[in-house]
Amino acid sequence: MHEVQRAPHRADSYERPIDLAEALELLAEYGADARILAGGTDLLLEMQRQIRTDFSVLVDITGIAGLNSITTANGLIEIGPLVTHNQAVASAIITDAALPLAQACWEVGSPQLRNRATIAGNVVTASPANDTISALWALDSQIELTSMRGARTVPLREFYTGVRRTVMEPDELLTKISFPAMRDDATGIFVKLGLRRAQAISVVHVAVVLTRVDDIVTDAAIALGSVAPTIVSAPAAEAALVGNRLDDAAIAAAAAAAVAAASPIDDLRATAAYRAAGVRIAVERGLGAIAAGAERSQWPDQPVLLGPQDGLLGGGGAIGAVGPNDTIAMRVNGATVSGATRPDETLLDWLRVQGLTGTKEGCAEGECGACTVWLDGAAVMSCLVTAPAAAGSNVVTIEGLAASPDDLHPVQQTFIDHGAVQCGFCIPGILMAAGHLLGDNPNPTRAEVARALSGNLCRCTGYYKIIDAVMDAAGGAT
Amino acid sequence: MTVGDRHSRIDALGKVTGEADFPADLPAEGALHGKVVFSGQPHARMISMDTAAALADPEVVAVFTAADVPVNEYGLTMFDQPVLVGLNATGRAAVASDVSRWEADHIAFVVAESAAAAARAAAAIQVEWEQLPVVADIEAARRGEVLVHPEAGGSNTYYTYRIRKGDMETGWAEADVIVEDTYEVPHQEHAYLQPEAGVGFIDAKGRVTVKVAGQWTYEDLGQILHALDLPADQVRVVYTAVGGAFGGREDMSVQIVLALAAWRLSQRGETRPIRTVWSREESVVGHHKRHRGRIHARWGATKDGRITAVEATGYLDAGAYNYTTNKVLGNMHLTVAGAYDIPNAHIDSHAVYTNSVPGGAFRGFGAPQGAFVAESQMNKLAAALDMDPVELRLLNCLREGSIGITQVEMPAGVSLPEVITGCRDRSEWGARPAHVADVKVFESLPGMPDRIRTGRGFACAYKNVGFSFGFPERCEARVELHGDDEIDRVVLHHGGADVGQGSHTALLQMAAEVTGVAIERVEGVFSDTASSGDSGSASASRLSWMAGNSILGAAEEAAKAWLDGDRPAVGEFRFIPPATEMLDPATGVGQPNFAYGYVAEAVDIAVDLDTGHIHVGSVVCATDVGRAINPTLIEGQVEGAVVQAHGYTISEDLQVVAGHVLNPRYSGYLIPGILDIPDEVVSHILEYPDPRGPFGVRGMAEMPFIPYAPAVVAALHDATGVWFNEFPLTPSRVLAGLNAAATTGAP
Repeated sequence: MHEVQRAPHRADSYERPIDLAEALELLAEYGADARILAGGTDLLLEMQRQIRTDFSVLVDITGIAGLNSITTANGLIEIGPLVTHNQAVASAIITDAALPLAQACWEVGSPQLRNRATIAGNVVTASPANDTISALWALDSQIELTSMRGARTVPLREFYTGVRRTVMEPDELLTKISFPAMRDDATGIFVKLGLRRAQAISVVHVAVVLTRVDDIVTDAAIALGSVAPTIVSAPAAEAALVGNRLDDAAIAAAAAAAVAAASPIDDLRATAAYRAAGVRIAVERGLGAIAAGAERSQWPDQPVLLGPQDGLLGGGGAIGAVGPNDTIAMRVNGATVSGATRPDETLLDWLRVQGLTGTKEGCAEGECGACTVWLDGAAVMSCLVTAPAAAGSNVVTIEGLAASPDDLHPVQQTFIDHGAVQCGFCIPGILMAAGHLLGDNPNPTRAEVARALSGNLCRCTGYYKIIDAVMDAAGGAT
Repeated sequence: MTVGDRHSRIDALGKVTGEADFPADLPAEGALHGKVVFSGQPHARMISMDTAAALADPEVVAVFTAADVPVNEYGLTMFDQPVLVGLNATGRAAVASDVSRWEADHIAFVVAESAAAAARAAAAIQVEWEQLPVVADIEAARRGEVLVHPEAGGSNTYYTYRIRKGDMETGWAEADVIVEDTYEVPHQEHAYLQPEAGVGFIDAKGRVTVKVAGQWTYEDLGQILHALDLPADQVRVVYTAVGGAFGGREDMSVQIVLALAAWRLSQRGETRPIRTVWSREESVVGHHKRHRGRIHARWGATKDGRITAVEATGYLDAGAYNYTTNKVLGNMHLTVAGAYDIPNAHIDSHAVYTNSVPGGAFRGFGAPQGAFVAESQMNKLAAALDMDPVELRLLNCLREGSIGITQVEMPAGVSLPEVITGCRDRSEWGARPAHVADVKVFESLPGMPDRIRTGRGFACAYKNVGFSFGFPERCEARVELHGDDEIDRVVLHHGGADVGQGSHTALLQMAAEVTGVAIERVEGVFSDTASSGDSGSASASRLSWMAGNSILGAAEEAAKAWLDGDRPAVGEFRFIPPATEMLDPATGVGQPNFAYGYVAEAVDIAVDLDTGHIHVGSVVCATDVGRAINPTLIEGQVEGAVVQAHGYTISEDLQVVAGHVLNPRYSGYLIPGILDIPDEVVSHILEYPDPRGPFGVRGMAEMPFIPYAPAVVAALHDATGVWFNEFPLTPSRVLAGLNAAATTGAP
């Protein structure tokens, strides 16, 4: 059998604790045999690809209320473990006082992924390409780990022990990420070099936080991603800045020095030589933007979320444990639908087994968007959500987008009128993203339409007529 | 007039509501689940296969192997591939059954009560292999130390075309400038959104039936009939909605195994349908690609810009099986000298077998590879001569009455000069700088105009419409006229596949036009071998051209029957276009095609000198469609082809090493997303009627793809002074190229 045909790793049971105490009890009970499930966007792929196979219990913490808060007090920002990327993007606390983290979150994946993926998950997955880690690193974050044995706090810079390895014990739950709010004398930026404008894995990324007093850099933190087995600091680059003005000479010196911190490799995305050059350019241009006061210049006024501002995860209610062949129910297109599931079945598979085949599987890895549905008001990739996690929720699929067969959603009609449909396989997912956008923002710009559809691939149309159709549905000029 | 209308697609409503069924959406109630098992072996001989553990699973219904296939071979143009690699085959195939030559060779088809059980059983099959040396690439194939197909003769180089035209010594003697380079063209993955899937069952009339997504029902049927050795009336192929194709569904994937399982199980009294669905990874690993290749070219021209000689030697990596390689190679052969009047030419084009993924049909079908070489050479000639590249093309291009590279007159209707000038004028070539919006390499940073260079590039191309090289080209249609005094309703039976391009809508528009009935009263019965004749494939930009002619013929027959008083009046017609010829093996003389399409593109780009990122601004595509049956559908083809070519040129980097595809996912194989596309694609649709096309139609769906890569490379040269002979133009490749040029002191 070919390697790509190997069956995914399967979980035998799914637990959905209703409070932190129960979650910690489950972790204490199962230890290494359990794995925390939150947004699921990494874990389901790791199971699919047999990257993590040493566990049989999924502990879904999304039913626990109170874990999705972003708070600030006494100069400290605290992020709960269920805070999603989009929640951070929409948070004034983060955009005001932790801009590099907001920028990093904004550049992860697509709107659908950002609605599910948690920052804590990004930290725990521990890939050196993970964007938010560098931002949190430069912000000098602390990680709170809690177990039945108590809580401990670990500096993020001491959290990683290698590629996808951390100091977390099997019974521990990441319960908080905290870092100092950037003061008025601090500026920062996150800069990412990818191979495309969305759904891009970093080839190189850089997070910078500087403190300047009377124009002199008094403190500098520079973190580099995708250039070493873990996120790394660039101490020589930091040293090149401290004590100096942020002028061209200091910037050039820091950019050159940053390269020394990188130990990049060749991979499918780029050569090692390219990554070394990329570090230099990203640091140079990032520092240049700070020097020019332009670090915030590209931040969108109204980031396209396709979901609620206060996040999707957390407090979804208790459905208890799910074993093989247990039945779950949820509201789908306004009606209650119930059906058998198993602990790690995807929402996509479950919907399709219920006969709702308008939602398509194009990739099963959250890249193509053909499986986009609305889950409790957020557009999500249903291939990266477990069905048990969606139990009790409100789901809208393409079959529910039109009020009735004779009363199409405006964007369905304009897709017909503009010839925006060719083979049509991507279209249900695109319509669910577009329909959500128009609900959020009745008058989007073409750029916002494109941003909203940046998680959806089409191979036939080239996208132009799709954008025209969405603009027409919005009543805008095409 | 119905022809020329922007009629909405007839299948659009079902596609926007989710009602339209693709193969994996067919009702699954009571269905069995099939799993194709890939060998995972680029080159190995099977020593033993043990299916006992798989069969012991109570949920497993059957495990089909080579021994179950009556004639264990298939292939679109050569039967060189086993249906199932394995032991105890019937011996009725020319190709050895026991050798896996490709990592995605099929070794078994497991049928079980659930998909999970089928996957479990697939993993339980025990196979012992004797490893054979892997012929990894063109170089290894040419060394010939190991033969991929010993039965095909003593060389991996198994197919060759030649052209010997004029006198090369004279050509070189007359040349004032010579440009010479070696080009590497990459693989491309179709990446249609819908992975392969299908259902096999016995229909109400007892026929072995498969419902799948493909491009040519009768070809699928023929392959099944051959392998299963069944009479034609016992097998039926039906297409559901097809989730994109682009050539990638022209060869078999799940068709034969689904028919095999339905047939063999019915012999055991098991009549439940069998469904199978491939994952994205199985799709990418398991079907053919656009060929990678290496072509050396040397062109000479006089100082006033007349081409005097073209010499080229090209190799395409056919991979493990021929698929349509011999035809793709022929098309590269015809296009590698460009759409120009070349007095002296010496061209050799070869296909080699390797243990890599098979090359096959993909939009453009060899022309993108040929045009990349020809147009790059042309642009380098223009630079060497300090001539405008458009003027150089106009000086040399084929025109009405020209003798083509195969030393026969071009089929009537050569519109290349008009296409080139149309593109020149619409793009304001030479009259304005590149139009490119703000280049956004870094999302969080403002643009860096100081580090951006912009440029413009131009290229043109031609490509055949319809099957070439003596293939018995044909297309059948049936038109029924219903009514009493007047025609109330028209029914068109047609096999032509709608793979997303909108052909069914266009065919109904033509049927409405020719019968004089409103399109709302024209009904189509499509893509079912039980109810429609052989249309040929939805490929080679041929369907509107061929199907239109078949509809015209059938409508004429139906009109006669109507006058004779028949109710309904039925017309059946088999359209046969002018015959084509195989090229002379020694000289390449012959008439390979009956029609061509012509296209030119002007592309504006910007490049970041520090990161190597390319952003494409305005693309003007001038394409002669003869007659636009439906301009909206035409624009859809232009825009889609340009963006697909954009991926081919910039970002799609399929890595195939030692017989293994290393990036079989969308996360690793980067097709353009909505934020990656050119700022605009201007579809400059020209309508110079093809004298033999229905309503003047020309084929067009491939053409806009073809000149894009060389136009971008020319624009990159315009921007930076550096030529690139390889692509995709990933940031790593571009930056390395710019740095190398800076180091060597090149411009």
